[in-house]
Amino acid sequence: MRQSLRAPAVWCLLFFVLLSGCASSQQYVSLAREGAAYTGVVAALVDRANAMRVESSSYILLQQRHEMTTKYKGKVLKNALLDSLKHANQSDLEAIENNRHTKDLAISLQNYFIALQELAASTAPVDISTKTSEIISKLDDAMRARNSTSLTVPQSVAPVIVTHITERALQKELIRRKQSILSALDILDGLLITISREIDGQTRNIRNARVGLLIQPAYQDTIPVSKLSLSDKELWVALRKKDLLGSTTESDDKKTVTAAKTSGRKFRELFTNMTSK
Amino acid sequence: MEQMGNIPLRELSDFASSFSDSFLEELLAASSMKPEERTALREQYRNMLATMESVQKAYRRYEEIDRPVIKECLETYLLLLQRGPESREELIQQFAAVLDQAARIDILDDGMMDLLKEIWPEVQWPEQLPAFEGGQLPDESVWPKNRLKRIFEEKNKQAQVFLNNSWLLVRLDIVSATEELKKGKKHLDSLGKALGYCCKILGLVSRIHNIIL
Repeated sequence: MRQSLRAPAVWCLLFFVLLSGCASSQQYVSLAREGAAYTGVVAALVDRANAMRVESSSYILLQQRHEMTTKYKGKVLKNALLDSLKHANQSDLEAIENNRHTKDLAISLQNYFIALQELAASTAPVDISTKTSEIISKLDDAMRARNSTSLTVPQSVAPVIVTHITERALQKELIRRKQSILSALDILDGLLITISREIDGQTRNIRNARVGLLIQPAYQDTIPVSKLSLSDKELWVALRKKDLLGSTTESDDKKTVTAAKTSGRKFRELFTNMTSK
Repeated sequence: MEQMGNIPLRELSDFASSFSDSFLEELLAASSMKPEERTALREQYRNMLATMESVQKAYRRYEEIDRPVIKECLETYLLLLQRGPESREELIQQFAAVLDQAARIDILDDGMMDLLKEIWPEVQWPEQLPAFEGGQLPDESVWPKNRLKRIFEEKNKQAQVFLNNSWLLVRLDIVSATEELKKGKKHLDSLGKALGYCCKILGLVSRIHNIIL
């Protein structure tokens, strides 16, 4: 009798453990999803910053070309133009290269979260360390690759040896990677400060350039509209439209940056809570 | 020490002020280090304190003397950029001062860098400024417009390199070593490592200040 009473209780307990295990794993799925989304936004912002920079410097090159043609002639003019183009290309490429390394870091961290999300959502037995160690090594390498202080940056942590995905195993995995992940998050936060400033400055420049170099001079041109070709008129309308609608894009960029900063802060809080022992 | 706007310097100062000479001696007394290793660590510690003192002094000077002047100059100029032809001469005359002050901005001073980001795109296209509307545009000798853009881009790049390629790689080690010091934990390995990082970063910070000052 006693035996039969105890059996349902054990089953209930087991069922409860399984249920709570699932719920906890879901928390890790959510955490990983949030992390992957945040790092993805940062990587996309890097691309956006690069595009804005090249567009902005292209307008400045056109401005310089215009000024140089009034100052120089012949070979002197050609050489001055070539120097100006070389200088702008070098400066832009340096900025793009610098951003690329941080984008690599964002992508590595995103890959880690994607792997973690898949692991947390799975019930199949698997060695977590095999799945995550290589990714974390790439993340650490991405950080070390940009080390300009000749510091000995800590090596990757030893792999986590767990073969079954449980809440405890996932927590253990995250705790072991905490230092690498927090360092990478710090770097992404740092990038957001400088990159949002860069995007903002270049956007203002592009807006002024479009008006000053394209829209206004074309409109002030005294050639009668009837003598302009259809494509010229269409081009002018398209440019004006781009300029005025551009302010919507600028506002979207600002919203994206603000959302990325908020999402980074929230993710960090959640991550810190879930990795506190 | 007063609260500094420069977060890396604040965290480095926190580490240095939590690390007393007597605590170092306690750690060394309990360690199995060779005499020459002890001497080297003491030397590194003294260097760290000396560099920290000069960096703090330079930054105090920046915050108390340089920054208010930079702020006043940039904020005034930002307002001037919106004014009409009556401000034409003043706008041209003040441009040299803006270039001087912009060059003095600390790369980690977000407030001043944000002001600079608003000014350079306006300066770049003088024909769009109300002050020059319908009149002659200033020539390159009095309006070297590309210089302000270059100052902004160079400083923003330096900030990104400093943060992402140096400071943020070791920040956590320094912050956690400071926590250990505050709790009186005697872990010579982690404190020694943080001390090394602190010296390197302070070296970089002092080089950045030499560029600015």
